[in-house]
Amino acid sequence: MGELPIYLGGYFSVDYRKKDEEDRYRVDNISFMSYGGNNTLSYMVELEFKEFYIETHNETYGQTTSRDHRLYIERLYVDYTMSDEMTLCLGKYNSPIGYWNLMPINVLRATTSSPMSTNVIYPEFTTGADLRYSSFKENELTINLMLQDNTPIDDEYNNYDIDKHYGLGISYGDGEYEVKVNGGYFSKRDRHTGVDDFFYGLLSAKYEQELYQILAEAGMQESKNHDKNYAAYLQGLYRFTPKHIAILRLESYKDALLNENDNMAIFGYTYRPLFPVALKLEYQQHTRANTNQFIFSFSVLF
Amino acid sequence: MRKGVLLLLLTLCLNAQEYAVVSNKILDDMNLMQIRAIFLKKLVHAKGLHIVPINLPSNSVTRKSFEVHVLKMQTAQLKSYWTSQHYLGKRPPLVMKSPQSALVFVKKVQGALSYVKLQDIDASVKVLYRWKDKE
Repeated sequence: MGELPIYLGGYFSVDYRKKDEEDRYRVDNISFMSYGGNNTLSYMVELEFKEFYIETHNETYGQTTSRDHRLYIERLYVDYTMSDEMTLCLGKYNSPIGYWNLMPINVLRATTSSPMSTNVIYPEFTTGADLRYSSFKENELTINLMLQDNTPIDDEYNNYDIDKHYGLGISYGDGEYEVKVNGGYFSKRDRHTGVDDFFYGLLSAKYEQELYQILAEAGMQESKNHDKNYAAYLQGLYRFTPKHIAILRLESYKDALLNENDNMAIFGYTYRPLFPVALKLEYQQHTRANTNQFIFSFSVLF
Repeated sequence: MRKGVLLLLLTLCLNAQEYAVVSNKILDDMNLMQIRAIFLKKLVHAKGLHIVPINLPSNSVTRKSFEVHVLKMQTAQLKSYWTSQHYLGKRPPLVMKSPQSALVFVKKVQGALSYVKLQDIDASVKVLYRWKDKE
């Protein structure tokens, strides 16, 4: 009981994307992870090659190739069980915001693409502390307090380069339905524009049955230097069998920083010959010009 | 006709197999949500003890009944769940080859829980939850 077992694993993902004037072949993730623990302490280390190889064929620009062979630190944390209800996580971890951000790797998520709410509302990773309270009475209640006031671990591997993040999350449910509220503040560093302060809020809901799942998230981000960002999606997932799954996701977002907004419908089909293996087809219909696309991916968790 | 139906129902009720989730005697009473959370490794400590849930083999009828009635999940859902938990650094419960070995483990290890047929239980373990299904 007192020993420290160590487990090794990882995952990889390759995909093909077809747009009107462009084809892209990509080796996206090659990741290695190790975890283990004893009765009160556990750890997680995950190192990842991100966008390892990309080959693009564009009708205007011709063929381009890019490689990124740097090994990034995706997660690096220690969990300490403080009491029956309280756990403290220290290090770099997936910000426990919404549902999608907790399962961010291709093989586990419903579609190859991620909803824009995971990119334009909150920081995907936090480096600091996460104090978690869990209670299991008639229903399950979880409260997360995220605290970062330091330089991040591997600042290039995050959607925002942040040195401050204070966030609160509360989720409540019974296993079939669950609702979650997140809110917080983060400070983004930018070598060109300096520091910018952001406030965000995200409301999420999930309803799960054996055959289907309904998932919805809606969030907003505010900064004194920019207009508001917003992003929302509603996703339905239907399991014909455990191996054959259909997905429909409706999304809308506005990214004030990039001055773009879009509405889209995503039609997906996933085949899982084994649970840790996924072959996914996806078609995205956008209101923005020249962004409709078809995506195929193959991903494995081992 | 009505008597026949009643007799059939009575026979089915008499044949219903009863099971129980059992723990080491040191643990307090638990509700269904806590038991579910323990076997899904969402709850890992109780009463200051490290909790050790014990599964029976995957082909066990008792395990199948436990998954349906207590976890309220089908086998495919559980496989999918534990695949995603691997990414989060969590492993499924330990598996004991037989109900007898699970009971011995529960008696000996503080914080251990398992599930067995009600008829296999003696006074040396604590019954946390009981359920019934048709054989």
